[in-house]
Amino acid sequence: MDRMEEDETIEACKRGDMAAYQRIYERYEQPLLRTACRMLRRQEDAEDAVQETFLKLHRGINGFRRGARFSTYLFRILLNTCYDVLRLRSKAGFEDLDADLLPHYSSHEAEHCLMEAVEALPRQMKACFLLFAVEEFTQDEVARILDISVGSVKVNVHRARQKLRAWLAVSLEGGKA
Amino acid sequence: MSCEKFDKYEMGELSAQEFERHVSECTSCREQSGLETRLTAETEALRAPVRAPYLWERIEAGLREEMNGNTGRSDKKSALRRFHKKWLILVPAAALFLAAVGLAAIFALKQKIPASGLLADKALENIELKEREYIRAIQDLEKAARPKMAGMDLEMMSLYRDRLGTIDAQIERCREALAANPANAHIRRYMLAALQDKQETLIRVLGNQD
Repeated sequence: MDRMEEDETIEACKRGDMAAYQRIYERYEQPLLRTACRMLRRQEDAEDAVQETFLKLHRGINGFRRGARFSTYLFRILLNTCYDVLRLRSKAGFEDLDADLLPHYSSHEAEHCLMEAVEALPRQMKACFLLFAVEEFTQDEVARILDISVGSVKVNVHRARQKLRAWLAVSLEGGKA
Repeated sequence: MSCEKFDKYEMGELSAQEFERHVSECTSCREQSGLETRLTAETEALRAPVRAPYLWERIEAGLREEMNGNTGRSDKKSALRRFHKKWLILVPAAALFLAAVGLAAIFALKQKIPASGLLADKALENIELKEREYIRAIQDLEKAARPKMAGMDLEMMSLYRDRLGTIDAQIERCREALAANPANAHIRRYMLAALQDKQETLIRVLGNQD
């Protein structure tokens, strides 16, 4: 979907066109789901967060300014929704997840190894790394999505890489043994 | 031991040429560069597709519900303003009631949950009763908060509405889970936290200055 097509789709969403929402879903489904899965570590919650993101998008789409970057806007809604869920979990004392509430998480073996290390990162560091290194947003865009400074994004991505390299070094060492 | 030049290079404080010159004579930086290449390659695996069958159908149903439910919202605004003063009386009463019921619910929950996590029948009945009272009190607070929200600027209104929407979705999911397993103390604790969060958010709405 190019920029012009995206603008037209957004205008159609403002008119309540369901097919336009579906086009947005098809375009962003995977990056949104991936990010939510990694932030929330539970697919069921991630799906709820994506659904909630679309409902919030619908409620706020009339306020979306033409010319602003849509993906940044959409991811900002998603990340705020994820943070709300994490805040609730932490309030309930569920920093880690209960098995009975977590039936679905599964992934490819190789991905799962790095995933564990990424998931162990502190919340903001993880969000910065996922948006910058996995979803390939620029540092400016990540800063706008997370409402933090570009400097803070830089530092967070740098520290995330440091931690992940250290994890990689240990796991490669373990593999040799 | 990591060399500080690698950090500087990664933070953009050292040019690629300078780093290349340095890396040829620094074992630590060579090692870190190798790990970085490996990390970049492994990051690719994080882009593996996530399957979520029927997610669009759920979103579509939710959107249709919103679209139908939203009609006439602006007409309601002026009607809601007429009740603007009513919340001034309702708030202190509702907040007081909430505090009392909330404390009772927390107390009951803490006292009655056996170590196994399964609640005895009598205690469960008691908790459900307190929970219903707590939910009713929050509903009263929500009614009182509506005119205040209707009078907010669009950005603030949408901020609070989104937050309350997320909390309501969590409460709903807990209710569904509890319908299947009423004695699960973990879900009940999660629901209680969501209810407390809703209470605090509504109190913030009511305390918000226009």
